[in-house]
Amino acid sequence: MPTILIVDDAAFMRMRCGRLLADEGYQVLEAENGRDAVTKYQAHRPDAVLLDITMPELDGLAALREIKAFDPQARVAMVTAMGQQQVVMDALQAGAKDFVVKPFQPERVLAAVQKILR
Amino acid sequence: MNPQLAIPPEVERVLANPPRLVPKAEHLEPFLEAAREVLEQELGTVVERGRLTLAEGNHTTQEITAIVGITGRLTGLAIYGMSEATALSIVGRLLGQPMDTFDDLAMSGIAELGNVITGRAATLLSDAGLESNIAPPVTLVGAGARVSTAGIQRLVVPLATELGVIEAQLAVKGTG
Repeated sequence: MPTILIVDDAAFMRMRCGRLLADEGYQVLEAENGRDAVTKYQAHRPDAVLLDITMPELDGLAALREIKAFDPQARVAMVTAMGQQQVVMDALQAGAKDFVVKPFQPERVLAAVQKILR
Repeated sequence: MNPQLAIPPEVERVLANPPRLVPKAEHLEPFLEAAREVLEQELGTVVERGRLTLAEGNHTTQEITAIVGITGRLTGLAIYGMSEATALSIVGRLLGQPMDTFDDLAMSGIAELGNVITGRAATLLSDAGLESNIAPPVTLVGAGARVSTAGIQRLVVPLATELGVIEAQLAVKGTG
């Protein structure tokens, strides 16, 4: 099964998303900020990334740009409380393939993963 | 001769009596709407707003408090206070399992709830032309800590849910 890197500074959200994906059979990796995400992406090359935006160290948009610079084929969906039009535009322009706004229904996250893996 | 540095009397008067920064009621509405949406969706509970009051001076925390910084056209803080019992009930509902200890996971859950409510409010404010952003949330554990809101008065609204009362406070000012 594909490996998904979940990036969120909230341990609670990593656990919630991780449980959701593991129940569907995905392998799960976790990172707690943007810097950690870039390091783990480079080390493990996961099949897809779920990336929060508001995080300490390195925010999600900056991490997205670094991941895409390292691997232009990286499959990334943003999962964030920030739903502003400008934020969505910035993320899509930086290469995100989907954008999930919190709070989300579990099916929405699973659909995003399936979409970016397609 | 050492020149004596003196504060002009007019500046001294302003420093002694700084202008009070009162948040506008219209800034509060997106936060209350966001709180209602998020709490109803995440917790499956009806939310009833209590009476709006205005508070000044330092905020004194309840047992559990999530604080989220706001930047952009509005700057300030959103503060969500509650009892530990309410916080445990909320995190238990979010995880679908009972929680009896307010541990790091529970702390993270309450911080995330504040993050999602305030993020949604920032989206509503931005849609209304007040481009706003949020900072990573902070959770305080323990009643009685004082939090400065830098002279900005706080709008306070109790939000009653079947899991307990969440006291939402907003201390923001417009930056033009």
